[in-house]
Amino acid sequence: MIALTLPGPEFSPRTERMVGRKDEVERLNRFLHERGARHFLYYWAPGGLGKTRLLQELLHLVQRAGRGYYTTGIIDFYHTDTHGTSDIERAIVNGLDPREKHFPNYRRERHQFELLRERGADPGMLEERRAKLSDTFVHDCRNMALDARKLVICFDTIELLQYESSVVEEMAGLDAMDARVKPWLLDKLAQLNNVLVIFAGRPKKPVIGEKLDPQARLVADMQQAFGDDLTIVELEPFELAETNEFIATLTIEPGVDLIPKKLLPIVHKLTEGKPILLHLVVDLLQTLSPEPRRVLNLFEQYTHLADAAKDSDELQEARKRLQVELFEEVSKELDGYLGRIALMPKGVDAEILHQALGLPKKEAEGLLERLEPLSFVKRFTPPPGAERLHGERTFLHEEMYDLLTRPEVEPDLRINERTIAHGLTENYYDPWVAQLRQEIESSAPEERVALRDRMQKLQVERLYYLLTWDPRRGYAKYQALSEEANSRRWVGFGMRLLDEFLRFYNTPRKRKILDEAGISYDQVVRDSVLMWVERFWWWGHYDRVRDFGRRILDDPVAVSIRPDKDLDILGNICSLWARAYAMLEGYDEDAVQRARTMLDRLPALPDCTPKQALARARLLATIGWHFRLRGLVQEAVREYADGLASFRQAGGHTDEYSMLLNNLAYAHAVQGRFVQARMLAHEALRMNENIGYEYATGLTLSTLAEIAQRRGNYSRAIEYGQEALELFRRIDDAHGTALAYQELAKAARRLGKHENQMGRRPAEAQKRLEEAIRYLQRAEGVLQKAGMGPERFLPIYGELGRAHRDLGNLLKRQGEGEDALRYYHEAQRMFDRALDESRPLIERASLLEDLAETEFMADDVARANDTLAKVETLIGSEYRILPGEQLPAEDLAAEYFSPLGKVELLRGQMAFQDSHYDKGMQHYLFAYAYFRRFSADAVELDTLVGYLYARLQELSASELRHLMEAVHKTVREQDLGVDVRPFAQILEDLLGI
Amino acid sequence: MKEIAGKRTGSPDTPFTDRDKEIALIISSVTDAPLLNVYGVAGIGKSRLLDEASLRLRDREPQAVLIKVDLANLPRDPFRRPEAFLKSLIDQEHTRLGGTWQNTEQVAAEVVVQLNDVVSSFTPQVPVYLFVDTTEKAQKDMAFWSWMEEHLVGPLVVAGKVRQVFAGRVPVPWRRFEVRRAVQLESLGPLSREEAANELVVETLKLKNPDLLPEQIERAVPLLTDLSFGHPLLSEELASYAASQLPQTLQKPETFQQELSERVVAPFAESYLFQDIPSPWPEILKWACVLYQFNPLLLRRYLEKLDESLVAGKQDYFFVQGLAMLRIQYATIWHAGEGTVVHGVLRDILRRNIQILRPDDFRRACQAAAAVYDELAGEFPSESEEANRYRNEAERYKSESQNCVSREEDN
Repeated sequence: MIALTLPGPEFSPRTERMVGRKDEVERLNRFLHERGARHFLYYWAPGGLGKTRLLQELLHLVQRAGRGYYTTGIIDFYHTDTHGTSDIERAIVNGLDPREKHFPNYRRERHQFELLRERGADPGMLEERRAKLSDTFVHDCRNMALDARKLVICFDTIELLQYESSVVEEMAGLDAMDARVKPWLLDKLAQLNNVLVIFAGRPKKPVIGEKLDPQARLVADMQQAFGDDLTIVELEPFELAETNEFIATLTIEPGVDLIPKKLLPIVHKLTEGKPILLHLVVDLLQTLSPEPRRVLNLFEQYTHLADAAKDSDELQEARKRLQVELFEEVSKELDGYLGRIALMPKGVDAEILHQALGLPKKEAEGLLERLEPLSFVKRFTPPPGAERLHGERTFLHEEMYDLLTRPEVEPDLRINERTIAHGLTENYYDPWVAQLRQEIESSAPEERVALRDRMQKLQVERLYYLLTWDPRRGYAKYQALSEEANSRRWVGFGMRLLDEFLRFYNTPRKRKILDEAGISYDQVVRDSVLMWVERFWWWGHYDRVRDFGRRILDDPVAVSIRPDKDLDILGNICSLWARAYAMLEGYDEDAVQRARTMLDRLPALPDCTPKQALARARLLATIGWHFRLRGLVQEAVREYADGLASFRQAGGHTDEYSMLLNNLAYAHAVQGRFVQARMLAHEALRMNENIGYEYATGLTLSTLAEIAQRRGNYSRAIEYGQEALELFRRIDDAHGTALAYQELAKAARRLGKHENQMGRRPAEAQKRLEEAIRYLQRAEGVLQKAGMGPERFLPIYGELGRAHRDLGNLLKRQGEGEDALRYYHEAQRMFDRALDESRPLIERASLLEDLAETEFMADDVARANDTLAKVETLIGSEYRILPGEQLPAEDLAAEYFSPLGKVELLRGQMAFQDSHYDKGMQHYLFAYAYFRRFSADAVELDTLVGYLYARLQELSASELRHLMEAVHKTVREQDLGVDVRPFAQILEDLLGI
Repeated sequence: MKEIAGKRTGSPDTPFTDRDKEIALIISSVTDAPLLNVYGVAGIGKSRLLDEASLRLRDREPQAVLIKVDLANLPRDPFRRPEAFLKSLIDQEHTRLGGTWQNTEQVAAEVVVQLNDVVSSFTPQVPVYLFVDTTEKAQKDMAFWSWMEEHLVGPLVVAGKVRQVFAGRVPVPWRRFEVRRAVQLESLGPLSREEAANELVVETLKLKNPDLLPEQIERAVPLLTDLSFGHPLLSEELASYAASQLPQTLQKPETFQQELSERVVAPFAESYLFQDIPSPWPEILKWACVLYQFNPLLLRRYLEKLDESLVAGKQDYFFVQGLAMLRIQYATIWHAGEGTVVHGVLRDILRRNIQILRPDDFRRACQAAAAVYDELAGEFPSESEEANRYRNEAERYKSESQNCVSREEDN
């Protein structure tokens, strides 16, 4: 067989000299040299009229203008490297400032942001940073503009800015989402000074099923954003004289008339003066066609149409025929490869041609070289600074992808489409993605950033071919990748995927393919709605989740959700909506009710589809979260545990599952169920470490510190706290860092308190308590620096109050009454600050109890009693145990008994201090009863026994016997609603009575 | 049949028919088109056409100056070709042409001037014709064509006095604009079956077997043209063979057709149409001829259903390249409006041959084609233009397969 080394034709080179467009070149020159002014220019025209050529001319003007003029080059929205806002920021920054002189803040923060995201940071914090990053970009850009003569930013193929279906756009308020390219452009660019920004593109075509005219919409959006600084220009085709000039410019042999003069008017008419077609005609005549006279004959037969009306049918028909002929010739010349290349709109290089078509590399390189000079072929190099996916790739002029694949040009070409897409997916993209995934898994976070960027771009490109090869598989992959992007806060990746999908979906032919595959418009709309709710949730836009979610739940039909059939979608939306509600406004009865109702509508777990199981899991986790916010941990545990089962059935969603494990562990710990708590927390830790999500790992370490601290293993708690602190610091997460400090403070305080209670090593106790205060102050400082809201400080104040109180207790015990009093007063001040109405009732009750204890220790017994009374009022009389009169109902929330237990505990202390041992013992007995109502495993039970044991040591044997008899009597005669006999038994065992 | 440097052409004794239009085109005035390029498959009658045109030119007044060069006679060494070409010109017209040999370029320049002078030095002007045959022999030698364009063809075209006619299986790869602008391409097809081919067959039968009776000839002709599809050389070969077998064989026409297919058509295809084509392309071509049109992917899918060994381990590239080779180097396939096709007359000949000799294979091939098209239809939206077209194609092959069965049953 012969190799493809047959000589190829030589094509006419692109024009060096700009033909026509004198007015526009003048305008560009004028704008370029108006120092200080800002101009936004939007060139629009149908394809092939030379918009890109005009942009290139502007770049020449900038080059000629010399020092002080900077340009980004042409940022073409066609390419995968420019699908996301961060891609565009990067393209602008690196284009304007390749020597890295002008964007120091942006570059630094971008690097930090990407690293943090890679490590996995808190979504809210990430989103804040992302938003700030854009502001920093604007700031640095404005600074650069001060020194520059002009900054020139060029965008091409702007018609590819995608819109969701209008119903989703409007309901979700996507117009204001600066994570998307269009709002970003309109918002950020409008803030720049001394710039010349050019947008070029074809008019946006209406999308099927949409009533709004996207072109009018784009223009209106631009006008609103740029106001009087915007100039909109529709580029006209060449005039006849310009056509002649253009042809002459392309003619290789000087003096040769490629087209006889008499035919020029009809050539102009049939090509509509479009440079791209004229270029093809010239190529055909000059080099391609084996019989140029046949091409001329083609024009010859239409000479009578030279003066035909624009809308003449015959003229239209002639134009169509001409185009087909032109493209047929070109296609034939390249042995049919051109058509195949037109089926690969993500561009080709030698490797792709090798993998997709089996071309040996050398042949592929040869083919690319032959293509290069064609007027409708462009080579694309990724913008500077972009994480290069590949080297140069060859693309066709966008219009050519459509023209060359029309059945009338090459009838059977499209049967190759799926085969090529399949080949590329499996032979080119899959192995590469797998290789990068492997590299990412074995790399440090710093190295992962670049690798992941490349992998994600590949995945976006692969999506196109996957959708082409197998629409159902492609759509499922789009959803799965989007979900991954959302949950990992890869906003840019998520937006690139969305953009790629919409480009595919908004092409009528492709939409038909999806439709045939059973993916209807309605399904796309409802899936899209769910995806947006999920995006908002994972990006930390809780207000958007709440508002958008509400609108959907109120009127699901408006977004194509079938209330009776799409329970999975509704369930997932409802769960995230209710969760956002909890994040924004704390516990909410209505939200819980709605979530519960939704849960009841879903099938029983064994009958659930994976998506329904996911909805169940999320709903249960959300309801549990609401309960936890209210301090109702038992209820939370019930919901969480059910949620775990649902997650397991749904499969995947490891991050959500591990977070649920973590929350469940915490809830068990609060109830003193440490065995369960530890197992669950360790499982969560293992999962988080496996997925490399450091923020969640930090949270779980904090939970483990809390568990260790509660079970009295303070040194282990400190170790976990230190580990969490280190991790949160590494990802620069203020919230996590403050949380870790608080865990360290709690552990240190409890250790100091323990030492004090044991009466041992007072110096060590003091050191620990002082350390606790320092940790808490650091936590406060971190939150202040991060500008966190006041609600984040409240737990710190509460803990500061306890630390000061315990230090006061230590000093008092050492006889340093005055110093102790000073600490008590500081503790009171802290408790007052912590007692905010916004905090859950149980926490407030607990804080009041801490305050009462401080007041008692400061010898202000009356005030302490008042405060204790407040606790009882706050909890409500229905929770009180009044033997003979009232026993609290069985269905009351268990958590409310814990503060009442603490009240009785303190009252017992007060009585003992006054040597009213009988009375005191009764209070302790009641305290025991309350704690038992809270939890059979409550850690407070041990605290109570420990405290009592220490105090009872001071009594004589007869006094003890007397007291125990009184206890037994009460146990025998009074019904406290719980079995308090163990209390008496423990005391007897300890005291030997 | 005579052999010319390994090339077979039709016998000069047989009638030359059905080519009036082409003859007129060749001998037409230089002002209409200074450069004519006739092309067509092997045996279609290109050389015979040039010969006939030469004869007619010699009968005209003023008698034309005609120089004919057959590229099949050029040396194998590409560096010697320009010189050999020039020498061939000069040898034929040594009284008018010649020069002092310094280098080929200088001689070529002199020859160009001399040829133009021949035209203008007489009143009325003497038409000068330059015929170049068997151009495919130098098809890949771009250096030779480049030299020709620059030093001979191009200057002659620009002067516009000498009529140049080139003939070969495929058009010459002209590159220079002045040449390309002047060239007129003329594809030479088969003879019309009803008239010209009949006449050729009849005359050949008479010539080879003068004892045949008119009614025997009349009965034999359709049997032969049914196999030759107007291909002149094959028509002649079939008629020559038949002449020796007639009239006995007319007793069993089906058996006779089978014999002709086996003894004449199949060897003709093997030794003539497929000669030099590297394996496995002859085999692929035999299957491909059942298809009315194809492209590399379609061909591959079709072959997969027929003979896995032909496609095993071969990528798209193999088919794209192979088809390019068949098109450019062997002219056995063409780009047609609807895709790639085996050259019309070849397809018909080969298709008929397989129908007669291997009916089971033919039916299997039709079924495979139908299955491929059905699959393709399923890959497009059901109401799309493509799906409809592929469904129709599938039906077409199904019906052919069915007809094949019916015919066998009838037989």
